[in-house]
Amino acid sequence: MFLIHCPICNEPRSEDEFHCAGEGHIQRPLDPMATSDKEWGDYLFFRSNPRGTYRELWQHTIGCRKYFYIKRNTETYQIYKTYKLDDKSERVALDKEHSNKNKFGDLL
Amino acid sequence: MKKYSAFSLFKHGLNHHQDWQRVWRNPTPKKHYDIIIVGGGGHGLATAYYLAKEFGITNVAVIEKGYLGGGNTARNTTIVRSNYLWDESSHLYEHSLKLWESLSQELNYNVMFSQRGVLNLGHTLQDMRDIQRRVNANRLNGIDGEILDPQQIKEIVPYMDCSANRRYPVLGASWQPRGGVARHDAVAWGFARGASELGVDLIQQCQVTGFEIKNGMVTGVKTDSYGLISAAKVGCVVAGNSGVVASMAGLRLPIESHPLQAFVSEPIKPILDTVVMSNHVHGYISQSDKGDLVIGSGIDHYNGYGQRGSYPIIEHAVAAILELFPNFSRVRMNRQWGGIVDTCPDACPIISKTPIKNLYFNCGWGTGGFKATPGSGHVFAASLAKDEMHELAKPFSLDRFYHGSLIDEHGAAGVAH
Amino acid sequence: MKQINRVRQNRSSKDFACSRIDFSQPIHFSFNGKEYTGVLGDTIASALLANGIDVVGRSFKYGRPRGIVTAGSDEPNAILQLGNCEATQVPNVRATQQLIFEGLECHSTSGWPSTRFHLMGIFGALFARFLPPGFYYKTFMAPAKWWKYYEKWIRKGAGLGRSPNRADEDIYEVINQHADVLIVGAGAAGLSAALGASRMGARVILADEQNEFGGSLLSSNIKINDRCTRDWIDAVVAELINYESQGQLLLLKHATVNGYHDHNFLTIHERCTDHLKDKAAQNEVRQRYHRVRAKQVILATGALERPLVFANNDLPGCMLASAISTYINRYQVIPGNTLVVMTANDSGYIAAIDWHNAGRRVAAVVDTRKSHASELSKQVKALGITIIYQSAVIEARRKRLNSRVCSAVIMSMDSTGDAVKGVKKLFCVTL
Ligand SMILES: Cc1cc2nc3c(=O)[nH]c(=O)nc-3n(C[C@H](O)[C@H](O)[C@H](O)COP(=O)(O)OP(=O)(O)OC[C@H]3O[C@@H](n4cnc5c(N)ncnc54)[C@H](O)[C@@H]3O)c2cc1C
Ligand SMILES: [Zn+2]
Repeated sequence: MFLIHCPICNEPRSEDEFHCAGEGHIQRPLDPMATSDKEWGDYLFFRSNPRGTYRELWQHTIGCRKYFYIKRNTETYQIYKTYKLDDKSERVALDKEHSNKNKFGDLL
Repeated sequence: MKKYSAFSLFKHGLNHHQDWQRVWRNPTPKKHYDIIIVGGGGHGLATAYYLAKEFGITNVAVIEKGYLGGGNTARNTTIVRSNYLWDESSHLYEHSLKLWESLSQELNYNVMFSQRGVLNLGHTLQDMRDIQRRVNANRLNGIDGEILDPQQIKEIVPYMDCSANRRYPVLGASWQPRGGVARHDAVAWGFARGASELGVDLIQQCQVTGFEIKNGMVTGVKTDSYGLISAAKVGCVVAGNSGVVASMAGLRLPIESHPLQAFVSEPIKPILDTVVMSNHVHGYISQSDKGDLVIGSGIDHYNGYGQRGSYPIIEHAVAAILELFPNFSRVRMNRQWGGIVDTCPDACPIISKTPIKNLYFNCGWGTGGFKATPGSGHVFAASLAKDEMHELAKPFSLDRFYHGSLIDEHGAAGVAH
Repeated sequence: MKQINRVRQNRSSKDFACSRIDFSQPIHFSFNGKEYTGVLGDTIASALLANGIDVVGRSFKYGRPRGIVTAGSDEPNAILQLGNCEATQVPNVRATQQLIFEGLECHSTSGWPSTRFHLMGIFGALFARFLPPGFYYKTFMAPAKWWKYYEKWIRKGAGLGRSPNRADEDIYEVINQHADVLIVGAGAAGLSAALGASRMGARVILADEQNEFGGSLLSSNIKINDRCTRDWIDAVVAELINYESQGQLLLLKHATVNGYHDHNFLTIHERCTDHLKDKAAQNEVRQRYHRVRAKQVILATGALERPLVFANNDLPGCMLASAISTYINRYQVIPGNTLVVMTANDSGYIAAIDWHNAGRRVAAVVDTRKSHASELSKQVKALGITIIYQSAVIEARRKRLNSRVCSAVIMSMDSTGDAVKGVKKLFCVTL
């Protein structure tokens, strides 16, 4: 049972107060009508699903009901940090990681 | 292959079982195979078996990072049924169920397939409407199914609380008499024995760490214990690790990996003769031949590769079972464990070619692929052998997520089994 | 029936200084429909052993007779069905963990027509060699449609106790707890840790699955600072109770820590009334579940003795050496007349000394090691007990199909410990 520090309540609370809303930092295509089926499918269904560091969107459902991010390890279940939606630092780190891998990423 | 029978047991008993043939060979891999199957779970082993048996392709290796059948095959709650809603999926699962019905004889290995029937309970009017729709759809597809009222349910499961004053009263159920359970390990071992006998190399303790890809075509796999092994075609059947393995080829899949756990009680005398599932209270239960109550419920709602489940699910599962069977309150749980299930957005598998030539994936069976083991192996083998997806596999291609032709089985997949 | 294996001495005698039973309070219970008497503090196991019962169950497949092997939660054989009425049936209770209370009813979970006379036992003895592990994968395949019937028969034979078929009427409770330190196990290490942490002002939870704190000290005759273990435990527990009354500490007996989940979340299953009565009183909680989030966790669960491997080591009368000491010191029960000890280290000597001091015969201590002069081996020799070095028990023998051990077959080993030579038979009833 995870112990999650809600960055809004600023308190550690148990997992059963929260709900996971899936992978974080996914950008919705800005103009859906100008988006190809491939781009739209990727946006809707394809996830990075890594074994290791992962950034997720969570909601403090039985608390402040606000969304926030968790950066954690999906293998060890260690939580590295939790941060608010307007925290841009992880977004930058993520972009860097992306440019380093997925050489075949656009084959699909 | 030395045949198994009561007679062979007797004969070997006379000399204290000293000279049984090994169940499978333990070879060192060759440099090249016609087809490499990555993942030695039930699906991978079944694929190899049918490749050799039905399509005469025997220069095949199954590469397994742990031991054979040690993944989800070893961890599941063994429910087998085919009463899915949509034509595409019910045809696929029914194909599998038909193979189950003669599997012990086919493999000369008793997989203890027990057709004790499966009940899917309804607790609300909407549940009952869904059940009616599904049973009707099943019947149109030639699949057995009935709708039972609480009285009829009570006859099959006398100790379930079907009274009307419960928080979630049992209003009825769908009943598939041909459904049931099987002995999970035996399925893997039976396919392994059959495949090995036909010439397939089963390579254990060998992890695939990458692919050799030339001009957009796969030419081999990289492994930790034996380096590069080349292959004309590669089929990946790695259940909870599909995303990880796909990323070795630079691919992404519409898959998220979640922990799913199961529980068994201490062994008790027979008290439950069928499989009971409820989407609504969200739990399911059967009793193994050994006497354990075998229990499951939902996946963890977040991704994880921990092969253990989260605590809230444990409480939830127990509560769900006690809602149906208040008399099990004093039976003690014995063990609890987890597997990693790869779930697709539409709760249906992916059996598909990929953008990389000759690289195939069979994955995304999520919480319910054990029942598909023989069928999945059979259609995947056919697809690999002929370089053309089997008719039953075609709807499950990867590009359905771009065309939008999803097959939404969330209702029939229901409670995660 | 009489408690033939009970030593009737009171606690003031020096050999039973740490006994935990109370002779002044006899307790009546029934096992397989027969009435027996034990005393307050007895587990079902210690009371049955006191009454000279050796067969408590049957093995699952071959129907071999089985006796009590351990004195704790690791008991593999003495698995009983408990309960005085349908709604209070509990399957698979270990006799070594359940305290007796007045009117307790329990049954063996295997054996037909009875545990003593068992048809499967005869069948098993005759046909075991044709039913190796996993035999069912190799047969029952023809004709295909008969599997239903084969399976029915297999299922009948399987399973231990039975589930009640009526809803549970008792009340259960769940509590959330928070602790600076959760200590699992209240033996010498756990008690000391609890004391240390409490003295520093930490919020502590101490949980132990046994009915008393003390762990292995409860069955030991050793001295701590020249005082018997009982005095030491009592003093420590008294101080801990003092912290508990200040609300800083929670002491949980009959409480098994049964889950250790992510981020130091643990669950404790506390049995509040199981040791007192068949059914909790109205508005009384039968069992309580503690969900604990702890800052620190100390696992002080001690060690379990593993059984040694030899032919027929499952016969009634073959017990763990530590269990023998427990039954003697804690319950004043000597499970047999003549003892043979096989050991691979000095702790086996303790059982021999305890047995001898309790007034019964030790035929020999069989030690797999070369001869040596440890403190304990000197003590054993001084008592006139034979030690047979560099030897091992290779087989336990019985007289009849359903009887307990009657002799131990011993062979000496060469320096590699592999080859054995020479055969010797020692008569004993407990091994
Ligand atoms: C708790 C639980 C309950 C379930 N209950 C049911 C049920 O009641 N009914 C039902 O139909 N289904 C059920 N399922 C689902 C079912 O178990 C799976 O869908 C099915 O067993 C998958 O079979 P598989 O052979 O594809 O996977 P697995 O048996 O997991 O085999 C995949 C193998 O791939 C290996 N592998 C992974 N990565 C590599 C690599 N890089 N190199 C080499 N080898 C690799 C793994 O070690 C593993 O052995 C359940 C699953 C779980 C976890
Ligand atoms: Zn909050």
